Amino acid sequence: MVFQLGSTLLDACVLSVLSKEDTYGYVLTQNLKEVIDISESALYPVLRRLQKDNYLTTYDQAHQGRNRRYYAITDNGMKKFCEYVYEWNVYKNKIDKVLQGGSRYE
Amino acid sequence: MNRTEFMSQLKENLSNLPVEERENAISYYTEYLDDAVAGNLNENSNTSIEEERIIRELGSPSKIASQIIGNYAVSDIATSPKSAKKGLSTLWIVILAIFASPIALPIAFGAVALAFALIVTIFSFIFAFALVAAACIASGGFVIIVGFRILLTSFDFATFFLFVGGGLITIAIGIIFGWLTMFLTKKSLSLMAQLLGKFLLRRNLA
Repeated sequence: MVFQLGSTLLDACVLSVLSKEDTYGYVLTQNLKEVIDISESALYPVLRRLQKDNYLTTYDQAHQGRNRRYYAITDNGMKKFCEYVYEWNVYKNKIDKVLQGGSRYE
Repeated sequence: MNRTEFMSQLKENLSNLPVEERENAISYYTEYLDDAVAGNLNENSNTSIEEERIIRELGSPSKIASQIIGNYAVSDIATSPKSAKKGLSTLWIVILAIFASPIALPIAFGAVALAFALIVTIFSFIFAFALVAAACIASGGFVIIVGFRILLTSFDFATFFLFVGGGLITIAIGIIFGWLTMFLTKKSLSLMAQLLGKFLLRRNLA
């Protein structure tokens, strides 16, 4: 990726995946890696922070004799996600204007 | 690196974190490894080969730990209540966080070296002032004593006044330098405390 993915944008991406369904660390990482350029260890701090901010909650499920921790979006998380989508559209439109319109725009 | 090595290195690098944070991180990566290995096993590979490959993809435990510590320090500063003991351990974690980022490390070293050099310079100045003060007061006093001796031996009032006057002036200069020393010490200590506070605050918001 040519442009840097900031941490806020990464938060938004994680919330987006979780807004569709609950999932666990490995699958979340693999899904995002298909589309965006992140390292395998990038998501744990994000998940931890989103959890502390109350945008996610976790629950454990036994799977084949071991534990699997699932992440689920909260109502606050949904609200935040909608904010992020709105902000992203505003941002995207501004950048489009500049990149397509050139220096005429302030 | 095998799984045991990876996990124990990760645990060690996280040893400064509170127990809950550390356990949380260890569980996450334990489960990650389990899921990754299970998802990738086929008839051409076995568990330990897959484990080593996935661990290689994950990267170095110390780098992973720095990300976790840095993230914790920033979020902890923002949310925790201020008690003295907690403040101290949080401060320590923040200092670790400053050194934790691989990109910031050279900058951090440079900044610390610069700060150290500045501190040494400032205190050398202060020390020099203190020496001047001491020297002035001592020699001023000595000159006054000599002046009295001369008076008592040769009743030369002119010389007596010259010596006593000169001695008093020197003592006065010494006292001024002494006051300057105290003033500079107080000022630089409070300035350093302020700057350290601002620096740490800025780092948290970054």
